[in-house]
Amino acid sequence: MKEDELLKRLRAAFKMEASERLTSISSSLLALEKSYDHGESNTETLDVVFREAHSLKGAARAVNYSDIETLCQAFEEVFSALKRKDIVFSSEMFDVLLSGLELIETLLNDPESNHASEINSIYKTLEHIRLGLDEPVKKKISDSKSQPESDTLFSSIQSVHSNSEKKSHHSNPSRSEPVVMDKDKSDFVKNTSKADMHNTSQLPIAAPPETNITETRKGENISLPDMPTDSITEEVLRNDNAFPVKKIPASQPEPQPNNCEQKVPSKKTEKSMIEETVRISTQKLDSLLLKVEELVSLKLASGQHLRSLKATMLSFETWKKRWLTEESTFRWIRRKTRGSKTEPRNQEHLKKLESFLDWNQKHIISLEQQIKKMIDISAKDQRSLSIMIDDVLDDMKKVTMQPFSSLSQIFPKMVRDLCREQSKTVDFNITGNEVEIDRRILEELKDPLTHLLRNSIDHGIETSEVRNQLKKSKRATLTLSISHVLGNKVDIIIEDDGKGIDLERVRREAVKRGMITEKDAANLTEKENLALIFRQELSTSPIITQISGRGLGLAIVQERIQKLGGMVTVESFIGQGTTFQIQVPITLATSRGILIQLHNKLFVVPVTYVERVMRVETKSVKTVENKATITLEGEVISFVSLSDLLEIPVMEAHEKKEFITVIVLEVSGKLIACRVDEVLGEQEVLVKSLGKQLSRVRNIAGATILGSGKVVPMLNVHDLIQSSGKSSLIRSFVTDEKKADTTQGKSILVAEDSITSRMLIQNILESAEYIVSTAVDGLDAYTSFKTGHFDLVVSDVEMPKMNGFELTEKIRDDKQRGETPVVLVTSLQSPEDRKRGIDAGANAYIVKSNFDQSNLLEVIERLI
Amino acid sequence: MREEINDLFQQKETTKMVLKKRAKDLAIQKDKKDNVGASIEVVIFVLSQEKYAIELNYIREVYPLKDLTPLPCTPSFVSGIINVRSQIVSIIDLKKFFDLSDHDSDSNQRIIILHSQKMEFGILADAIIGVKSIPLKTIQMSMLTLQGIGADYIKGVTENRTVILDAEKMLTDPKIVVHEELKV
Repeated sequence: MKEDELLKRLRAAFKMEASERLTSISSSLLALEKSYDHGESNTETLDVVFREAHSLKGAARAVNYSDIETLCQAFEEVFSALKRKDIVFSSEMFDVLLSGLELIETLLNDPESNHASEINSIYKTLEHIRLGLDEPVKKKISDSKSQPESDTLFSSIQSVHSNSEKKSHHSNPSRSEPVVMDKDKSDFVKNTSKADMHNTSQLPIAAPPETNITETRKGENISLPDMPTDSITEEVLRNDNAFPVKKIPASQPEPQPNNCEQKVPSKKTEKSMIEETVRISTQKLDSLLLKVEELVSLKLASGQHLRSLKATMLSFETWKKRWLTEESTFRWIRRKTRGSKTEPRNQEHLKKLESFLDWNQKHIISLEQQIKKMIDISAKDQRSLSIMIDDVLDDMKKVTMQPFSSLSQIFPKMVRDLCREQSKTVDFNITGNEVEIDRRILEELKDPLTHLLRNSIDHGIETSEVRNQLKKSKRATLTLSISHVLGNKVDIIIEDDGKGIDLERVRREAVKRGMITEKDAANLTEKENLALIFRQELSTSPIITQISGRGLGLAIVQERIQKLGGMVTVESFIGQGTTFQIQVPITLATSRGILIQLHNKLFVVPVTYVERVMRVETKSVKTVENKATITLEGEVISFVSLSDLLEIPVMEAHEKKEFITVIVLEVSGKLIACRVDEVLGEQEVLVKSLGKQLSRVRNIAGATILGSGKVVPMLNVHDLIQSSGKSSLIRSFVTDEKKADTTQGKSILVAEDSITSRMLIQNILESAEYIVSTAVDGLDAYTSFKTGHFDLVVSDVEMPKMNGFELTEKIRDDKQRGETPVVLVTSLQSPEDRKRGIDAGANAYIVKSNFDQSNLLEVIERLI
Repeated sequence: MREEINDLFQQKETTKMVLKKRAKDLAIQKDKKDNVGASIEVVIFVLSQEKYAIELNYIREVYPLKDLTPLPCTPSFVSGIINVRSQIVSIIDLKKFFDLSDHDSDSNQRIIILHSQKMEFGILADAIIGVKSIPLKTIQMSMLTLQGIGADYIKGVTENRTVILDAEKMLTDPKIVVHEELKV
């Protein structure tokens, strides 16, 4: 039976989850106890345990473990009372809670065992604690005194049976009743096999008194606040202890003479404890993985060192060549000095020099040999280091890999529930469960996949009646499949045979929301049209969501997938269905990047987004509707300068080169061509975050460390493509030539005391073909102004001798050229300063913090 | 005879009392002195020719400034990122953040890495003077109107005009965090 199998799998998964949560709860409890000892309240930890208990309860319900659910319910209630500060901590409370945890663990390891009475007792005790009844134990004891006989009797029977349940089951088969499960008649139970039912329902019902049994039965899994305390009393007496609940678990050996079968469950527990796998906290694993990943940079560094050594070796070659040419001279001198009659003293000196030169040559040659040896050794080291590191990293990656099924197993139930809600009939198939993926990626995939599946059912698949009318097969098909492609990547495909996406509707909505113009809309390719559904603006539209579905959250799906270095595409045919294709890497660890150079700065672009790198003729850049474009295999794509996109001020004018280097970037079908100075090559990179302070920087995804130790920013291509939509940037390249005409011959005086700023401004202006003169302070500027002719003055405010305000005033006072426009450039941002600048007579006031070239140039262009 | 002994005994008792009292007094004085003497450990550094101090608790390490990689698309107060033993640390220029006049921007020699559980970044310093313990009583809370730096970021000023910065405030200030979603 399929559902039966599913439940089994779910339960296995639950077991893993539960033990994780239990660990978390118990460690949090211990922390709470500690802070309680110190008299502090620890609300954060309390929140954690509350959440964990709550989640565990929910999970337990999903797999029909009502005992665990009941216990968690009690836990949750106590924690929430603690949160509300209705009650305070007590050490007894911790004891009960911890023993409750132990009980849950026992139940997990042996779900078939019966611990009804223990559960009850813990439940009751927790109830007491929660209601703030002081010293519940004493009360129980005193209660029990009123009816000691029956209780004692009952308890002994109870304990016999809880420890030898199988026996009792066999001896009294007719009396066994499905008590544990009876409150929770979900589909799973109905469908579980008979044997299973038997096992879960073995109960210690064998003997009088009747009343007690009924109570116990009732209390199995629901809260009955008015329930008598009998069962708790029984516990108290049985354990012969003032606070008994500590010793509850079934595996606890009880010195009962007649429970010979008690060994069976305890053995079972043991077996499940010693498994072939070891549980390691993901935190530890992740930190280990990070460290192993760090080794990659070590590998890259050692490669770099080897290259530098080899470069050093080459310089010996240069020396050798030089030596060969000079050697003849040397010989000639030697011959000459021997033959001639020079002073003996000079002879002496020359001999010394000769022998020194000989020694020098030998020494250098021996150095060369040493270095050669070192290179050999380093090369060997580097090779084995590389192999070892790659191996370790590979193994480490495998450690973090999990089969797709560990994620996909949650989907069938979700799909079925959704279908039932919406009265749709769907055949849901999953293929490729065995494919292994990095755990971190699986985790990140959970939400996007859940979302896409929901979408398919909510909006894609029609109800059975509609399908009937459309003459489609009554049962819809929804497929989730995963398969390996290209070595390190997997394809995940979600395919339905529903009604598909109404492209026309999407287009109209996009126009309505101003995302595209009518004209663009008419020219949209089908691919671009479909890509629109991933846009955030569109997704928030309720109309789209209602009519064609596929709206809400697709932007988020895309962002998540892209963050993983993957991509998502969609294909849809009206009336026939929709297919989402997700491609993600199997491992996160390393990726490949293309190293590029822009104004002497290095950047890395993830290879996944690079469609191609090419050289194009400068004259092949053509403007279309005032936008620069180039063609790629007949397709016209927009062309921008990457430094403009990144808002890097241009330090030098572009030489008019015949060819320019272009890197074509692609995100979900959208292409742009970016001009770069140079492409340096492709290499393995390890992406790192920019640190906590730089939580998100536009256009920059992270950074990587090169073998040389140099830090290089990694570009966020997704952002770049969006940025390229800004019209101002595209314009700047196109208008380059126009500007040249208008600016030619205009001269500008730049007054700035900082040499860097001065050079920067000078460069910006010169690249726009202005004639630039500079001055180092206000006074210097004023002198130049008096003696030369300038169309405009650009001045800093803070300067020695004469500041910018004074300079402006002086210029304004000049009789002949008092009208010359003055632009103040400053870091003083306050309104008063701005006012002062205007009072002084400045025409423009540019604050350095938003000082970029286009701003300054625009202002200047307006003034002259 | 007996009286004499008694007398002597009494004298001895008095002496004992006096000594006890003295000891007690001294002990109290010492206690008092300890209270007054509470101090904070700071690292003192130079920024724009002025002396600043930051509490040692918030400092992870002091690191030489080398190979700073500037980052485009960041506010001007972010100088760039550096590699500190394979970890990327972002560097902030307080002169720009506080709008201090920039006398000599090339003199940045050192980086002071500040950290708390939730935040970490480095700040540029022209020079490090050293670690010093500053008695709390010498810190003046009231201050001259300091130009540029918001009073928010200042804990106080010492007698010799070292400005003690409030590292905690800087580490928790949302203004210092760069989180920029792309707007089209």
